[in-house]
Amino acid sequence: MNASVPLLEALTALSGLLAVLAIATTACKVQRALRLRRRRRLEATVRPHVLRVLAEDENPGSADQMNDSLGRTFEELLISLLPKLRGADRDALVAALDNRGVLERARRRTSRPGAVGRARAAQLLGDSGDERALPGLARLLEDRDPDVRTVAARALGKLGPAAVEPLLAAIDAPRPVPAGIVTMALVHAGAGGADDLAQGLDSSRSARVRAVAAELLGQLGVLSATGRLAQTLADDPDPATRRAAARSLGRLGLPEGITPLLAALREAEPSALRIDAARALGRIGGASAVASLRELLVAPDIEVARAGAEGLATCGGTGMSALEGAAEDPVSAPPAREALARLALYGSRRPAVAP
Amino acid sequence: MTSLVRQWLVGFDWFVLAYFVVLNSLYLLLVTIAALDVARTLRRLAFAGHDDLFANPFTPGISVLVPAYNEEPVIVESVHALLNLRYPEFEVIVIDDGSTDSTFDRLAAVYDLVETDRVIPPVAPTLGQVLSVHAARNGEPLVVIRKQNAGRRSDPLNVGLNAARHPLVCMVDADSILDHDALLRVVKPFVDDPDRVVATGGVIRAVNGSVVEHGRVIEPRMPSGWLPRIQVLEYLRSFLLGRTGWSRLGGLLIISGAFGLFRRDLVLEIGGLDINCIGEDAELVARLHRHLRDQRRPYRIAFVAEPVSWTEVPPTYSTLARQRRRWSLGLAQVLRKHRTMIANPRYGRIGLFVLPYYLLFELLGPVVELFGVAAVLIGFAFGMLNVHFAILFALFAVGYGVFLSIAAVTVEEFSFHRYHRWEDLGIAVAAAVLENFGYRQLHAVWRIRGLIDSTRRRHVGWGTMTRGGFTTAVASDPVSSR
Repeated sequence: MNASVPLLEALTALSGLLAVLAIATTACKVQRALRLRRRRRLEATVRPHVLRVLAEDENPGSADQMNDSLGRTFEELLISLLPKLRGADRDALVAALDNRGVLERARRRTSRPGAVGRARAAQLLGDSGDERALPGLARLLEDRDPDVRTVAARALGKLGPAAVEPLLAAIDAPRPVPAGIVTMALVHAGAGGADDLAQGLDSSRSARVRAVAAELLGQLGVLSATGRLAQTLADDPDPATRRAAARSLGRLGLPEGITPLLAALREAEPSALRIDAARALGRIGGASAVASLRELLVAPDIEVARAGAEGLATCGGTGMSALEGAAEDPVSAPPAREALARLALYGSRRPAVAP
Repeated sequence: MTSLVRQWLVGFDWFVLAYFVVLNSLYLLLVTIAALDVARTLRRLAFAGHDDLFANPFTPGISVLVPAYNEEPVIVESVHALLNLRYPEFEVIVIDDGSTDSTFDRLAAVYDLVETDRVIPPVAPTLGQVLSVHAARNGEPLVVIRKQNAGRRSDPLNVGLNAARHPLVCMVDADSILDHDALLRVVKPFVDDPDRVVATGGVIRAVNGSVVEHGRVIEPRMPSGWLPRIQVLEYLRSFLLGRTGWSRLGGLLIISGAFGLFRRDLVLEIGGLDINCIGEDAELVARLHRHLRDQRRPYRIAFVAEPVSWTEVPPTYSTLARQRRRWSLGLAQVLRKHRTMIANPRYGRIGLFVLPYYLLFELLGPVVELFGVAAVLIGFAFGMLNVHFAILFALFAVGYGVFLSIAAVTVEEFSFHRYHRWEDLGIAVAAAVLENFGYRQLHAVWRIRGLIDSTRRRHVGWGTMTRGGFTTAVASDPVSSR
């Protein structure tokens, strides 16, 4: 009977736990329904004020007369609309938020202890494009929480070219931001920071920074960087940076890119680089490109051969003729026929693979 | 003789008690960790940046691989759902593994398929010969590969791996419907931590009874039969709590074949899926762990608790029995193949904790459970049973099972609350109690049969599943039903 005592006590505790879970689950469901109804009621009340803000005839003082709940709902609605709008509508929202002190509070919140609060503040400041937030957001790039660093990087990108250097530096920081996140943020920052980006190709920078810079100079269409990219493709010791430079030369499409790209097709080069170079050459075109791409169709690595065929398919009339000729040759037929089949199905609507 | 039986029974009783305590303490730990992790994920969802991922020209492309064998009732709806996923660059590759029904004909009719040339390099090993490759004439990124049946799911997956054009491959069951943003959610760890993340898995839930329109689950509901209802609860428990917990501990061993995302280059590097293993999904993850640990490469395999793949669960006992038998056989094969990793410190948490857990509690659990019942009966027959203690113990065992299930329901209600209707909540609670009487014991028997199959090393194949197709019904008013 003694052995039963602890079991009986455990059973009692378990029953209690079950009761707690049942009550918590029911309460959660009821509370959610009530909260949803209340939220809808409040939103219906403040929506006309939001529309007046967008129509730019809102007297800033009128929203001040709202009680706490209505004021909070009003601000939350404005914040939720911020990433969805552009131009004058967005400016009107930002002005209304600024008048209510929301942006000032967000700037202060970037220094508060809770990671979630800091990240939310960073997101709002990025969405608002508030340049006064730049120092605070740059500081958050070294935050101890990786999610906060990521949100801060995205937010900084929306503040424009001034963010380029801190974002590039964040890649190599002791608490780094992933290169993919920085790359996307820099796409948002636009071509205005091209000079800073081009400096990212310097050999004194890390391989990660050079690769990001090389990728973005092409993505952002910085034509003046063609020479630097050609040099990077030829000389850089990092394979990923060379690949990024090859892709970018293809995107920029200038003839200066042809010679280093042709050199990158050599058999001694890594397959991944040959693939990127072949696709890039296809974008630029030219007689020398067609001849070299045609040779790739017999490469033992099917991915290289396939890239050669894809390159030819985008090379215009001479490329198509070469491709059709290759489709008749048993050795080069498989990749050539595959590329022709894709062209027949999709035309130029879809790229063969992601850029 | 009686004394010998008594000694043996007492010893076995203590073993069962210790086993029970360790197992349930582990469950409690996983539940707690998972609940905390889900809460953390939810708090951070608002700034997760999924919209940025969608707009990002550098978000990696994904080839979605859909192996299909006799999936006529569901294939069109599934493919429709996949093609409408919100993701910047992807292709859907359906690999028809020699279906004998109209799986291909239905796809061909709806998507106006035309035979095309596509080079499929033989990188990962395959058995069934590729017969033809088809593409959608209307420009949808859909490829359908017809091949000879090889009697195993891994073979069409390897064909798909070889044919894939993107750096990431997502393996999805043909009877599954993915949430609209599912790919954006599971790819996020790859973007956030590109150097280390090699695979991610998402949540699987039962679609039976839910309202599906145009390839989207617009209102999840509890199914009508108790067998699928109990499975709804099982999936909730297993994915929402179990895998989230293991993932947080850095010990995710299984990414379901119904929804998993992998780096293609790495899967090819380790030779694709094992065409001789029934549990090819778990085996692939185990082999990834092994390969990367052997090479001392830093890596991470993550579980994402929020996106959902909705799958049709077996509605009949016979189909369910076959499925669970296959799962048990698959697990046994994986553990046998990777036995040198078990309790081996070289493989870190996976070797020291996760694999021993799967061996002792998942694979051998039903054996201990059935022997435990037998011991009680023998004890009773010999008059050695403390009936009071036995009843309390049985009550506690059942109560603990109910507690874990209700905990899963509570976490679901506090976090994602996909089921809106009060009656669904009531059904879930009832199923949590009912599964302990009959279903749990049957489940143990099915798993033991799978274990026995593994000792015979017989081939089991795809397994036939009776498909009911996705329900299309009128959705209830989302506000009034809350």
